Amino acid sequence: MRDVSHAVVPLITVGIIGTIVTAILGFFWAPAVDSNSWNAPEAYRIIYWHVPFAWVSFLAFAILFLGSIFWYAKRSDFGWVMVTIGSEMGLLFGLGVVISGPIWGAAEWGVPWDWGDVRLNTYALLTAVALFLVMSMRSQPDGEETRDTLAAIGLFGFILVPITAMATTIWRNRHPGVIIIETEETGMDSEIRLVLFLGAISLMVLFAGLVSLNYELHSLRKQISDKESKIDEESMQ
Amino acid sequence: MAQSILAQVSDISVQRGVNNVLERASASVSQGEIVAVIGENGSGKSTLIESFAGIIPLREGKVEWTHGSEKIVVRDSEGRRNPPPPMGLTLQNNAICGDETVSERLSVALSVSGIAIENQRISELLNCWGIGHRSSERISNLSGGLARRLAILCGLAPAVMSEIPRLVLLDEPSEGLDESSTKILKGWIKALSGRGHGILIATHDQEISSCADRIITIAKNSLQTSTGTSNGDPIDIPSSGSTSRRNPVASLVRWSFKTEIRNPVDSVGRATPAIVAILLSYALVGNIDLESHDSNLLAALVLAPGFIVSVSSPAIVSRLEESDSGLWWNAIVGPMARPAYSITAASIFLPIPVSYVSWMIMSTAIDSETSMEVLKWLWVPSLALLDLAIASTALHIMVADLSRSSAAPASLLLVVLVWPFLELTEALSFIIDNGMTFGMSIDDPIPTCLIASLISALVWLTAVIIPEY
Amino acid sequence: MTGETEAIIVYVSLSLILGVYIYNRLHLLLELRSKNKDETDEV
Repeated sequence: MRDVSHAVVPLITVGIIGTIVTAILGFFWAPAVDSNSWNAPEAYRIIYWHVPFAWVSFLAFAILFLGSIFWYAKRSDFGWVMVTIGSEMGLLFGLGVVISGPIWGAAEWGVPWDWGDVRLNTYALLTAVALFLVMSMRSQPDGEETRDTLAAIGLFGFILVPITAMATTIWRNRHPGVIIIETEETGMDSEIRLVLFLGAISLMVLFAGLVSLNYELHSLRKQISDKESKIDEESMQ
Repeated sequence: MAQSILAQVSDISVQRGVNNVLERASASVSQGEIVAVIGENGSGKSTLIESFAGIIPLREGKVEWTHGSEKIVVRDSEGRRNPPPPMGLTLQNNAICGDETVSERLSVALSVSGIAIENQRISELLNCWGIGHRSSERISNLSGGLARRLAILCGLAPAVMSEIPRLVLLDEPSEGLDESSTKILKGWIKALSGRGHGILIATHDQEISSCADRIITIAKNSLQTSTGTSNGDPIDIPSSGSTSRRNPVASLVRWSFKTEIRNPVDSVGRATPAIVAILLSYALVGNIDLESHDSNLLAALVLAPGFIVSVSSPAIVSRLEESDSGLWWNAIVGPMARPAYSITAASIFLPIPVSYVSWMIMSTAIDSETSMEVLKWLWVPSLALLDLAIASTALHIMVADLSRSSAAPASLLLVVLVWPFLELTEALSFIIDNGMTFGMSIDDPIPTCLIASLISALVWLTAVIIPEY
Repeated sequence: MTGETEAIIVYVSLSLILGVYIYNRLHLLLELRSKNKDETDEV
């Protein structure tokens, strides 16, 4: 296994610092928006964490999806590590999205949840699947059969994404109107874009640090388990 | 003279938990042969039996059975899976559900093997094992020893009643048996061998392994074969019976209905929260003039109890977990087991009547013309709830694959079924506001119900196909 | 209503979630590293 232990603390430290700086800049430096066209103009500052959380959780879900495929196709141990890390990171950052989104929605549009919002619905669904996987990994005995079932559920979660997108689009056609999150990409100030970019980079660095951290935890657990087995064998001789 | 092989495992590698139990192991059982598998506890005896039965996923290798002149791949490491030909199977746990009666259980074991016999012959078989006097009793009332005798008989009877050589798989058959029953077991094994049937027995009982023609010893993940002592004499066993067309899925469906009728824990378990929901909704909206409100609210309240009925955990999950009953059915039915469970165990009878009761209670303030129109057409969205129920059951069954499934929060995966429910609420709301129409635009009730059914069907398909791959 | 409170709530709650998780994992990392070292000495 690759040794990532040296990267863990530096990546996490840099990530945390960057994320905090983003929050500070977002609150105190980023420009205000026009209070005539926004119902809750200060609430827009949530964007500096909400959007990076969404991008990072997307990465995490992608790792979960790819890991499920690798496990399913080849029973690859590395695939399984990707499933465990992807589900944990997906849960962590996905929770961030489904907490910040509705709070912002309630402030700006008076509506915490829009069944017609494809992104919010799919993030909620994937976060629910990630929560299921994380809880199951902690409660079920590890083994090939458990991994098969959980990888299947991981894949199931992904096939639900287009199903959810279809269902949400149909719903939105019937109930047009409220959209929780406007597309952030149109007509943005350069300063807003800068802080958003900093937030994205910081969270990605933090994400990389947390992935390395979890990878090292996995390696350490394996090493300890192997050593304990060796000690068990020697004590029986 | 070389006897033809009934079944063989070729270069199989199996992992259980974190351990490699078998590595590139090969074994076969031929017609008329008694093969005993011996080894220490945890060495893999049960794993070998279950591998032959096609229950366990393989890391490597394949399991093939011969049926007539045809070779069937029952399982391989590429994900291929087919149900084995008719066989006898007794697992280490009895694999019998407490809600069945003794005679029913034996009938089921025979019918899945394509054997149709009269009650008299069922009694004859039960009497041979000293449990004829308990034939109409529920299995849950039997002592451990009697239940074990029944489980063994269910494993041996498909071969006893068959003229065609069959494979019998027995996992620790003498465990839980008294001395006289063990003698009967040995005599039946010898008799079946004499009739050309093959028997594979995992055992640590030397009395039983002494009757084997060949011994397979499992040690350090590999198999070593040696000649057995072939001790023991056959005893008289009942003659074979007539065969009929075999349909394990139909047998599973019948079994599922019978056990539910005898102990309607599924129906009661689902209906209770639904009735509570109806009463709560009625109590909480008592003063609200629903007629002047958006009909979406009324539609949601009316369909919510039916939704609750549909998504509640099915009783079949615990029935299948009872002494590995599910493993037995899994082996017999093969890859069609999962879709069959999901449809059989879904709440098919409750959603429609529950929705009607819900409407009648909630709609007291609605004008009679609207009410009549809804009563005429409420069955349309309620019917689509059945698809939702089937999808939900498939999800519960997918989660039930986990060894500690009660510790896994299945409800998290059910979140996706909110969308079909929302569509059905839309459909009912349209019927309340405008009456029923038969247009095919996206706002009309019939396409809306079809969309809900389609979403449910896609969820069902995903939940039954992926785990079987 | 400017939404400032909501923004603060979001940042505080997300910080708590991240903070608790990172602390927990780093603590576990130190524990396992120490255990691994002890097991190596024992072997």
